[in-house]
Amino acid sequence: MFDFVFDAAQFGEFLATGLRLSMPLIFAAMGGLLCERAGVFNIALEGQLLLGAFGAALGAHLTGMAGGGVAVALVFGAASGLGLALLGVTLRVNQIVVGIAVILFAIGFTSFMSRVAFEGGGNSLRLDGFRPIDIPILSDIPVIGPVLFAQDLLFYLMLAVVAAIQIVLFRTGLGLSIRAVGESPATADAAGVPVFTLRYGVIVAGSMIASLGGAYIVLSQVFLFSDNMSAGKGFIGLAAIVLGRWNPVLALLACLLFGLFDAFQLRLQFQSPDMPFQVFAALPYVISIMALVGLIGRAQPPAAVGRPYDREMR
Amino acid sequence: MKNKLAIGLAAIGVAAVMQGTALAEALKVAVVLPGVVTDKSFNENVYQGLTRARDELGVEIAYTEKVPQPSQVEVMSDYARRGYDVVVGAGAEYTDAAKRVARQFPDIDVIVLNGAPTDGVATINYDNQQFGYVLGLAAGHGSETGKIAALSAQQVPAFEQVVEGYRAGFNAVRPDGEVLVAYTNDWADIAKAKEASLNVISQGADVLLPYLDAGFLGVVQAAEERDVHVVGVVRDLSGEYPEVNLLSTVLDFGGALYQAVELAQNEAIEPRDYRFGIGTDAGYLGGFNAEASQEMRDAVAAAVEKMQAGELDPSAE
Repeated sequence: MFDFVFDAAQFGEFLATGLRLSMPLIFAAMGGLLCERAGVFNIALEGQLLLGAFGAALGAHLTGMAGGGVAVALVFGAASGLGLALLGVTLRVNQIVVGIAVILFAIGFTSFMSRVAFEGGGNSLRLDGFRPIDIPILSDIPVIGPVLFAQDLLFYLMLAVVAAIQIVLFRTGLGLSIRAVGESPATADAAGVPVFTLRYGVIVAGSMIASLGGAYIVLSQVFLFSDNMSAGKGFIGLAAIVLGRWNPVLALLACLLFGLFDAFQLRLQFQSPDMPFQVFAALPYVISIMALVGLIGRAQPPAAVGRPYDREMR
Repeated sequence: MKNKLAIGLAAIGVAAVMQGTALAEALKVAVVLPGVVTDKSFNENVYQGLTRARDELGVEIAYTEKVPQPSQVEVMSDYARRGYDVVVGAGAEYTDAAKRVARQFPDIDVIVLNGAPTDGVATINYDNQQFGYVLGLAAGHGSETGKIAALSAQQVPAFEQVVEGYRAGFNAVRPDGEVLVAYTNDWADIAKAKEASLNVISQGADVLLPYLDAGFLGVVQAAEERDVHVVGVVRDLSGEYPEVNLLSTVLDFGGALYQAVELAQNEAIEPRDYRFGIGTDAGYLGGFNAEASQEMRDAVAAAVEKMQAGELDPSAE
């Protein structure tokens, strides 16, 4: 059952699969985590992955460059964030409802626009995506080398994003303000923190990060666009935030856990053909529930998450 | 795009003229679809069969796209109430709804494509084992490693039948050959399908059979990247992906629908299971890879002939 662990090539392949399956989850989780730290639920991650995927396909198709795809994906992500902030922060609409609205909009919008924008449909695209960059010397390390040091640009960007969020949230004044807004917006407001501006900024930034997850699927994995291709990854990202206790590094590990167990279950299917495959398909979720109740204990969300801030309200 | 539009308009024009003249009593056929008619896959295929029936048989048609499970009965019985003579559910997921509609409206013909045999309903099916068998045969001649794979999203009966034939065909050439089966749990997740494919390739499989919707693109991509082959069971991959396609078969559900409508027009359709084998109008061989050996082509042709003559039944093995 575990014999692939002792075969260097097979094990490297397994790790690489797990990592690739984790990448969209990581971007989604980081974007959502940032928003929730500022007291705003971003349920729309699934839709933002989809918008990012469509934006990436559109940009790469029009400019012929992967970089153009990332740029358009970020624009789409920012636009969805702006909409989310306008409805959820300024107009104080229920954030769950707003999030679902963005998801539904994203599904319809991207399916329709892909028929308009791509002749012959998004399925027939062959986009120029990112190619792996081998870092000299480091990429020659057996097993770990090819997995960690022969990745494409978005992988290194992901590492930078996680590090940046960790540092900004816990090592800077700005991060302190963001967390204050998420815990007690009234207190932060009284202390002179611009609650609304900060929430707007964080939602837009978080949405842009989430859209990068969609860009990864298109520009690094499959090089085409297909309807609803995010396939529920945004929701797993949401779960990873809770599993990671609203901490960027722990959330990263949670996403890797999902990804690696997903890769693991794909392998397990052959080793035990008599077992129903659904048992294996459920494995990542079973593991995360066990981790949630057993290892980590009670998760404590930011106190003000999900509650729109109103200055006049007691 | 413009061409399609022009053809579409022309077709509507023709239909309008035909309706206006002689065909006041034209057969009315309604199809209820799970997806959109532009999906380049199952739904589009069915839709093409429907429009062909309109153009060539002169029947009156209607269709509803993206009908979810809870509304199936409502949409289908609505067509029955509005006087449609034939109501078709496109896909196995319509079987239960079709059974209820057939009981409620005994005067109309209810048809389900790819559905399990059901009381009161005409079901249209394929001898999936036959199609799997020829693909397995081709894989047996094309594989270098002696390992091949089949990928689907769910463990559905039609896929299991394909795999049964696939394995029998492969083992007919390579008695000790191994067939890996993987499930992705999502018909449309291309990224997941690609990872699952890379995974079976890394275990030595060098011919892959995708039984997926949009997910098949992930399988094709993985095969392209790792320089292995794909066999297509539902649609002919030889035109779009000539490099990776080893051999394809075609399950032409549109063609099957056309034949069913023709039967209904002659009032000859019965509520029973209609089954298409390989080498019929509705299910046939697609293209080979350009470099396919003569040995492979001969073996496949011989098997098709035997199966048509009833001398070879892969489902019995």
